[in-house]
Amino acid sequence: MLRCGGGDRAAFEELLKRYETRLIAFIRSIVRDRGDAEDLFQETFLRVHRAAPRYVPKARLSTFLHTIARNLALNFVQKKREQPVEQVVDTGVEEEAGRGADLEALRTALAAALARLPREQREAVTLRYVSELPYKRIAEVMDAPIGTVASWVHDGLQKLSPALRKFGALAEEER
Amino acid sequence: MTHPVNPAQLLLHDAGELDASEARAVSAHAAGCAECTARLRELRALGALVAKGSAAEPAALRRERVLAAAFGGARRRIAWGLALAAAAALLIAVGRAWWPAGRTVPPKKEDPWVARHGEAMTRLDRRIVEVAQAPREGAGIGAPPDVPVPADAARAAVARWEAIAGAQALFPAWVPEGMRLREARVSGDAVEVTFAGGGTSFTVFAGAGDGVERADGAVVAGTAAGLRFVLVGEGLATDDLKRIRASLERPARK
Repeated sequence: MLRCGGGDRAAFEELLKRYETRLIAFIRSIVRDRGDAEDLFQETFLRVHRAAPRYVPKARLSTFLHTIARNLALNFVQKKREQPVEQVVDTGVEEEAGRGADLEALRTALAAALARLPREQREAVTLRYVSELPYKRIAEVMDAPIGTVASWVHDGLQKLSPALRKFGALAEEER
Repeated sequence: MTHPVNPAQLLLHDAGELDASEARAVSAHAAGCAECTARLRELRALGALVAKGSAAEPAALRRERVLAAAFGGARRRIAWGLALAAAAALLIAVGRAWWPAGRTVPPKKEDPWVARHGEAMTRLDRRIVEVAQAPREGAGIGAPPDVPVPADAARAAVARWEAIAGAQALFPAWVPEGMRLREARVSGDAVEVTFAGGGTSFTVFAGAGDGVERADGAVVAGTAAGLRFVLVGEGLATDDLKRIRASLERPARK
């Protein structure tokens, strides 16, 4: 990040590579739409780019980035609040996904199941398992007590369970 | 009968994020509890599936797009303009009641914005108020040292709250935890407020003048109720700053 502040394009690209998957997934957990998430991811990094010369490394970089992304995403959602987002993302493909327990089917089923979670649970689960943040950092990003965050993660996983259970073999591969 | 270890504790324990005494208690229980063992196994498997199902897709084009935008120009600010215009309208609606052009705000002991809107303020508003009212306290993210608010408290306070409201609406990502007032200046009908935190800073200019059309690094937020708003990021040239100040202090009438 400090090198980014000096205008180092390679360092900025490295930062992009390191965080893009996590941040896009996290932003998507809030806005739900992949295209919107990618736009907001771009906006996040443009703001990071502009802030880099003044960046003071007192907070963890991951916390800093996720906080910026979250604020942007929440603001975006607020502006679109009147839109029935459930209709956009709930594609009804879960049943089809269950026919073949492959990675693509898992992705589809996961996206549909995540979309039905309350926002806090969706955010917390994504920050924990996609961004791989410790609970303490998630609590900072979400501005919530750590116990509450852990409860959101637990409750979220429980609600995802029916949709994901059929992909258990993939979880075994992961270990 | 209540289970002695709740699921949240189990997850925190699994992540090694419980304090020592609590961790010992959970360990002692979980070691002999088939229910906890099975639940933890299931939660781990579900977490692994979430991670696996969120795997990235090829992103070279996306990355190029961000790099080009970051290093190749400032066209994206057009998008800002739309958001800023909407946010500015909100800001003006709040500000109009308190600071129409030419109005002199009578001094009050209690901050009028807080007094009037205290009940309706959001949690984030409250946090910003707390931070701004106690600028030397709190744990900002890389916040620089504060500069005292000018002694002309009543007028500066109105400007401050308006600018805070504006900044919050206009720069949501720049007003995270720890963002705090660094400097507020009132000059004629123009106000200049700088916020800092999160490793960055920005300044909101507002005034009755015409305002600049554009300056490199400046975003003209909008005009309403006789006020023109200009938001400036970092690194603007001194001459540009002077130009903005001068343009906002000028009477709106030609």
